[in-house]
Parts: sequence; C-alpha cells; structure tokens
Amino acid sequence: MARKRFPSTLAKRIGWVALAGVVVGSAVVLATRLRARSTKDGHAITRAVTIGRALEEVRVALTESPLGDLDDHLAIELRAAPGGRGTEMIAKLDQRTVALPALRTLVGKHPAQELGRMLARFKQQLETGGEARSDASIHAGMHAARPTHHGEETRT
Amino acid sequence: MKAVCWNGKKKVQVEQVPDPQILDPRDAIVRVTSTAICGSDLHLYNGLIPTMEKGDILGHEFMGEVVEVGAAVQKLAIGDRVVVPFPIACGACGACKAELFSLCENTNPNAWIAEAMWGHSPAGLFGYSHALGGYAGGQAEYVRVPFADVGPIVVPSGLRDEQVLFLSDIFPTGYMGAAMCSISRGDVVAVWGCGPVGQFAIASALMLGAERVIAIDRFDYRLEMARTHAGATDIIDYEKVDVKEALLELTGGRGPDACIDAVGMEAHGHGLVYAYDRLKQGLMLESDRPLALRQAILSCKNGGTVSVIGVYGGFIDKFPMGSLMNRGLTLRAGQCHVHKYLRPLLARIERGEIDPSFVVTHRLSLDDAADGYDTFLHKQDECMKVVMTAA
Repeated sequence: MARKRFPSTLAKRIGWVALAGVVVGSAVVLATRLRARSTKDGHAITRAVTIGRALEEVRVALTESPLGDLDDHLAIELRAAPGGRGTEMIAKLDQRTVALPALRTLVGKHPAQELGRMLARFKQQLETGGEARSDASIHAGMHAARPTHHGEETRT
Repeated sequence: MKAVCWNGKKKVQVEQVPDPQILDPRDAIVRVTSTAICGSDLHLYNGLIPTMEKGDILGHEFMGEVVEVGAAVQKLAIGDRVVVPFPIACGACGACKAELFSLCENTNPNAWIAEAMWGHSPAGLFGYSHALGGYAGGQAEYVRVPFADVGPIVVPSGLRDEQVLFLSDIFPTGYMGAAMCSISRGDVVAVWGCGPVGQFAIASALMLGAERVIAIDRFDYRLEMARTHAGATDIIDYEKVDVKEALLELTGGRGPDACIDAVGMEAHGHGLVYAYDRLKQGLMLESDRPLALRQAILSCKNGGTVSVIGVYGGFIDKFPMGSLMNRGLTLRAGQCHVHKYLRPLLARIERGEIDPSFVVTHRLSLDDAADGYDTFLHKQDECMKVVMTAA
C-alpha cells in the first residue's frame, strides 16, 4: 500500500526554503559586516572622546602623548564641548579597509577599538593622572581576575 | 590568601591565591572582615554573565580594615575600618562629577568588551566579569581597592559589621530603586522581588514617603520579612493570585504609582509565558527572562514610573514597548551610584532609622562559600542573605 507522502514532502520543502533563507540572510549580514565602512570624508575609522579638561590643556598634553607620534596616519580635531564639559577630541585614522572586521571586533583587535583604547588612556591620564588597571588587565590576553604570582608572599 | 573563585557554572571553591599588591599609588589593600553573597552573584554562579574566566575571585559586597595604602592615597590611613562600594569610580570624569558613579568613564580597562555588548561602557566593578573590568572581588581575605580616596567610606566603631556591610551594595541599590520613583506623599509603590534588594527597596520607599508599599514574591518567609521588617503594607504571592488583578484591587483600579523591578534577569513565574522565556533563554535566543519587568510595566498606573534595579545582562523578548509609550510611563534603571548614597544612608543607620542587618539569615566562614552559594541559590533553610567572615 502506497504511503501518503504529501504532508512530509511539503514539510521538507518548507524546511529547505527556511534553511535557504537563513543561509542567504546570514551571508548578507556577514557580507555587510565584513565590508569596511567609510565616514563621509573617506576615513574608515573615527573615534571620539570627551575629556573634562580645557581645550588648551588638552592641546598641550596631546603634543606630549604617543597619539602625537601618529600624525601621518591620524587626524585629530579638538573642540570645546558644550555645557562646559571640557574638550571633545575626534580622532580619524587614515585606514580605509580592514580585513576581517567582524572577527577583529570580536577579539578586540579592530583598529577602531585600538584607537578607542588609546583615546581612553589619554583621557584617563588627563582626568585622573594615571591609568586604571585591574588584576586581569595588567596581563596581555584573558587572565583570571586575581592577584599575580609575583606577590605570592602572604600577609601576617 | 584564601579567596572564593569562580570555576564554571555552579562551581565555586575556596582557593589559595597570591595576596594582592598595590598596583597603583591610588590603591589601598583592605583586610576583609565581612563579605556577602549578592543575588547578582547568583547570575555569575548560574553561568549567565559572559566573560567570566576560571579562577576569577568573586564578591562585590565587602568591608574591612585598611592594611596598606599607596603613596597617593590621602583620605585613608592604615587601620581605618571601611565599607567599599561595588562600583569603582575615579571621581574625576564627567559621570562621577554628575554623581553617576556606576557609569565612571575611567575605571573599566576592558571597556571595549562592554561597548561591544552595550554600546558604551559603565564603570568597572569588583568581582563581576571581565566585561566590567576584570577586578578581583572581595570574597577573600584581602582585596585591592583602586581609587581608594574616592570609594571607601570610614565607618564608626560603634556599629557592627552587619549593620554597615550592606552599604556596599544592596541598601543603596534598594534606596536608589525607590529614589528613581520620585515618590510623593500618598503614593503606592509595588516591589517585585523580596530578596535583600527588594527588602531595602520596600523600606526605602516608605522612608521616602510612600503611603502603601506592596511586596510581590513567591516565598512565604520573604513576604513575611517584607511585612514584619521592611514594612510592606500589603503582600502578594504570585503563585497564588493574579498579580495584576491583585494590584488593581489594592489600588482602586489605578495601578501602583510606581513599580520597582528588584528581580532582574532570572525571574520565575508559571504558565506558558514562563515556559516560553525558559525555552528562549535555554536556546540562547534571549539572554534574560523579563517576566517581572513585563508585569511591572503592564501593572503600572498611566503616567507612572517603572524603576529597574534587578540586574539584566543582555537582550529580552516581548518587551511591552507599546504599553510604555502609549500610557506615558517613565522607565528608569541603573546599577547603583553607591558613592552618592553612602553618607546619607550611613547617617540613617547611625540615627537608628534602619538596621540593615535584619536581612542576614546565614553566617558562614569563607571556607564554606560553596555551601553558601548553593544554599542561597536553592533558598534552602529560608536563606535570605549569606554573610561570610574570613576568620
């Protein structure tokens, strides 16, 4: 006796169409993410930070910071922040393409993230006089949040 | 030293680890005399907070004695008895100057992780994942406290540890939850969740002028504590009655003027909606189960305020945005800006207006931390709050 195949065939077709949709959708999303995006003026990477210090103080500090050494690749604009909130610092990195941007973002190695960290360090230095360090961040890569071994002696 | 370390989902153990050292002239080292397990530590315990590493030292509610200070520390001295706020704040950035200390712009060295998850980074926190800084926590014999001139508050010797320990988190968190409701005299406030934060939200709502405070939970002992200690005027057991109907009855059909979600990402419930959220969370299609939040929004009176102090980590589904928008609700949320509330709340304790130690049900040695987590998670032995001592 022949089996009634219609419902299972229909279900399979729906399944294949759904799977194809997921694959195509994922490919579109991935392609969009992998494409390096440019700002209006052609710079691929822009990061900005507001520093609670006067414009002139930031300008002087900038000349003495590692950010100042990147002049060839980095355009930095300083302007007074509204409401007396200090200085807005806009950094544009002359890098139009980034290979595997989604993957780099995932591991924190996207040039935009690295630029962001540089700006954050600069802001911290100016606002607090130092750089915040956690028990894990003093090491490269992921590391358990606990004191390091070089201080292994115990307190009494 | 001994420290409570996270070693995976539902795995914590006390390990011998190196003592903390001064890493920055602004640091202090504190010998921990009392530390507590927070309800939000259970999210870490349950493996729901990403970016934990095996070996991370847990704990963000702690107090103790200053045993070492960095060269730049001016306000603390060796021997001072201090309570330490759970957010780490620099005191100098725009957020700190605006008294939004849990949003400090300078204390999360791993800000890039938080930015990828949330758009912007909040402050670094003690013992609460690498996305929030990778700082060792205070469930240990010693802890390094960065920006020691900004956070810790010196407490008088006349007050017991258990009276002031909760200034580190849950008392100010509950208070901020009530403060965000902008309570006026005669207001009715409903509080979802009668864990320790919920208890302090209830007590705080009354301090701030609420006329009636309605406590919502499913455990009798929590509801009883809400009534007898925190001062709730009414209680609702959500496993026995329909919460929205009960609230409408208690408020003459208006709904509460303000609703506080002190539950967060691991809400319980029953019926199809709860099954739906469990399934979606299990399949990682949503990170948090927002049953209490949905209920709070749908129950709140037109034009009322919903205040969220329960911890959420990521994304939720079926958020009733239409209700929020069309009924003109105000939604406020945040990790507590503890530093802002330390002194006024310490003053209330000193004046005898409140003794926060009423929430403590379990006192353990640090060595028994694993049992403490398990007992707290399963609400065994009517567990409300576990306090541990290193001695």
